[in-house]
Amino acid sequence: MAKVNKPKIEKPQAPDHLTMNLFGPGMTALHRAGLGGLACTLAAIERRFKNGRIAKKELPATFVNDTPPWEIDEHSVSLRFGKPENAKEYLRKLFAFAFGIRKDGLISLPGQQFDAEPHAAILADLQAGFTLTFLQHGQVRKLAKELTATSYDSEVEGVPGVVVQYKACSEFKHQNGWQNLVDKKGCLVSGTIRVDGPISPGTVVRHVAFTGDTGAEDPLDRMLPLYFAIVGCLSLPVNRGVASLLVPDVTDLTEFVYDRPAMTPSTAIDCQIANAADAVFRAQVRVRRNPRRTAEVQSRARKSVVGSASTGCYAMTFTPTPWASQQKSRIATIYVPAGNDQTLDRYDRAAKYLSARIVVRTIKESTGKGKAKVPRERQESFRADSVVRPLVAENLALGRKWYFGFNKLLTKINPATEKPFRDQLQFERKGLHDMIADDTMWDEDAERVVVRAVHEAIRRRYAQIADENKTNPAAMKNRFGGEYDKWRLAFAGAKTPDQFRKALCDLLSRAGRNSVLQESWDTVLPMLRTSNWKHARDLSLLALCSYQGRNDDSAVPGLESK
Amino acid sequence: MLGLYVTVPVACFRKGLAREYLETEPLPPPATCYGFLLSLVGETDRRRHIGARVAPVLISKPATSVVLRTVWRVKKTPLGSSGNTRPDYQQLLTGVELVIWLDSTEEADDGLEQRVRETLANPATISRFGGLSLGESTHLVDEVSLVTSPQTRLADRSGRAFLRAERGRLTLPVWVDHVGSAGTRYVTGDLVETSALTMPLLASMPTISPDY
Repeated sequence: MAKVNKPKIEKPQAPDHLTMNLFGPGMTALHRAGLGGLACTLAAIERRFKNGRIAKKELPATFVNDTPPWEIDEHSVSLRFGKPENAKEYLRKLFAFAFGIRKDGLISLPGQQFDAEPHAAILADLQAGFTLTFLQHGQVRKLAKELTATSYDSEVEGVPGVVVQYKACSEFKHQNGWQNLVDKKGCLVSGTIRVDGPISPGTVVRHVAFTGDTGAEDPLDRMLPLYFAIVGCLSLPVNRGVASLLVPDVTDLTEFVYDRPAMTPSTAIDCQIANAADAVFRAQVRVRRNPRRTAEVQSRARKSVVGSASTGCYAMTFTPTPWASQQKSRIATIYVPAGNDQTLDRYDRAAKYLSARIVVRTIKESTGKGKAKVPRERQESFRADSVVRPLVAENLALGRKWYFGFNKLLTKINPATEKPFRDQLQFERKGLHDMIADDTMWDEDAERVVVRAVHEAIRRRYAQIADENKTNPAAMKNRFGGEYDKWRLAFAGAKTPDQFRKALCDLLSRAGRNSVLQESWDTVLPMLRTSNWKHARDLSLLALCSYQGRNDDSAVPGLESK
Repeated sequence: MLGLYVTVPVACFRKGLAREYLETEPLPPPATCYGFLLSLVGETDRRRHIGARVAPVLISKPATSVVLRTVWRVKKTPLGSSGNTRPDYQQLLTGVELVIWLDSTEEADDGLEQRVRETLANPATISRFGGLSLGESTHLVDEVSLVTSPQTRLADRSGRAFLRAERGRLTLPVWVDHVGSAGTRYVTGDLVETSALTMPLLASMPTISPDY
């Protein structure tokens, strides 16, 4: 049989450029954040080129007349390779710059920073975030077995700063990602490329038994942004097993190159987050306050950013689950929109009054044994966080009253410490008092009046107890504690409007004449209606937990004894 | 163009890449609505009405909740083997009310629009199977009716329509690769405030197509 010569089909020539659109089809929030991360990285190269801080051989391609071989506009990034086969070298150098590891084993992503070299302890905290989100699997990063310690600068003279321990990293998956994007000739690949968890957290092969068919795939113009999602997003640890991943809602790349570095935390307290909503608000506040970002955007004669809220953010929570304890799975997402100054202002105040704090403790140690034993003391700093601020942050993010669900803090167990949340509330009494004293925290007068009325009633009850136990301070203290517990249980245990009204009326009637109620009874009444009783219950508990003596801040009966 | 009023008590319009913690889109993507319409008329060939334009309008504000459910992750064959299921969280929308606009002017004869009209006029003539669902097969549809103007119960209602926009913030599929994801095609659009009975512009309605 005669051999049939098939007509030779010419392959289309590989492109000499790659353009990625922010709003292209299939560009999810993570893709857009990734494209923002790519833009930030390219902007970092431009800054270093301008300052002469990058060698020519490290540039992805030659700058012609100081013009970079790429273009960033509001909605797209174009990479120009010159020739199609230059793509390999271009991407190799770009990835080498973007995904660096310092000599001390800390991952350093220049796109996340302005020009200053970040503190090692900041990078160590960020690295903890990476290893709980993008780089959580052992096969996608090489870490040293031994821990390395670094510390923040001391905030109090003579007391060491907060120590952060990390495992030095020698390699991670993103560094070699360019190899998947080019073919043997060094040109860009055509078709789709496999997406996996380290590149896009939460994305997995649907059915492992059919990996080849059921994996997630993206074309090149969506895949390259995904590699840079680790730069555009912000990963921070909540504790050793839980992390939050912030995915900024990027809408303008030329602004995001200033927003993203401004989002990066710069202090030990900034790196301490309590939950996903808390992390988002913190980042938004940092962006709003960052002078460099404000100056840059204003100098470009763009819209005024002073006072305006910053980028909206999706935030994911990663934690081990009982059915997949070996990995950190996504278990929740939340979206915090941009543009609401009142919400951000309220969070800012909550962060001020209920901030994480650096606590110094004295540790007693000894060396040697027997007679040679030498005792010594050393001081250690650690970060302690609020249990109320995460509740406030989540409520604000979801558009609820900031105190919504406060009763849970008096009834639930803290999963991180396995102790009741209420045990930690005593450290937040002053912060809570400052919160309720701040007029801008309230939407309605009625909320404030309920708190004041409960304060007045408690004050009168404590005064009665003090009067009855003038000669017996121990009994007085015990009775203060008992009184606090009585109303805590009565309010927190109220499951119906009637139960709550009974508890509140009981307190008010026992306390005697209440000047706040006399003045504002008509304001309080709507709060006792069936539709509002949960708010009133939360406010009553808030009043109970924030109560402090009229003259002396430290003299707080009840809570003190707890 | 015709409009369908559709209610689904409980639904999840799963995001394409959300394969652990199954997040939902705020409203059903055009591809999901298209699948629902094919099921409604008893059509089993998914390519039969390529070219139809579908625009969903969400006219309620569904509450979002999260449940723990069983999902299939096939690790070994046969499919019923132990270890092929695992728990996972899923977001659910409760109280979904939609108007789905459908236009078949760019289809060949006997377009989907005409078939839907006939189905609703003479349901007994249709041969179809399974419960009518929107999203997953367990997310059963409660009510389907034609939007006729003026229709009193929708006259004052407004909602958010998914309409094409060059720089839209939302990207939703118009064709789904049910095995992997390489064949999934998306359009970019925005959620636009509109009244329930306002027909969208034809050009802004997403077109069902595997060839974007």
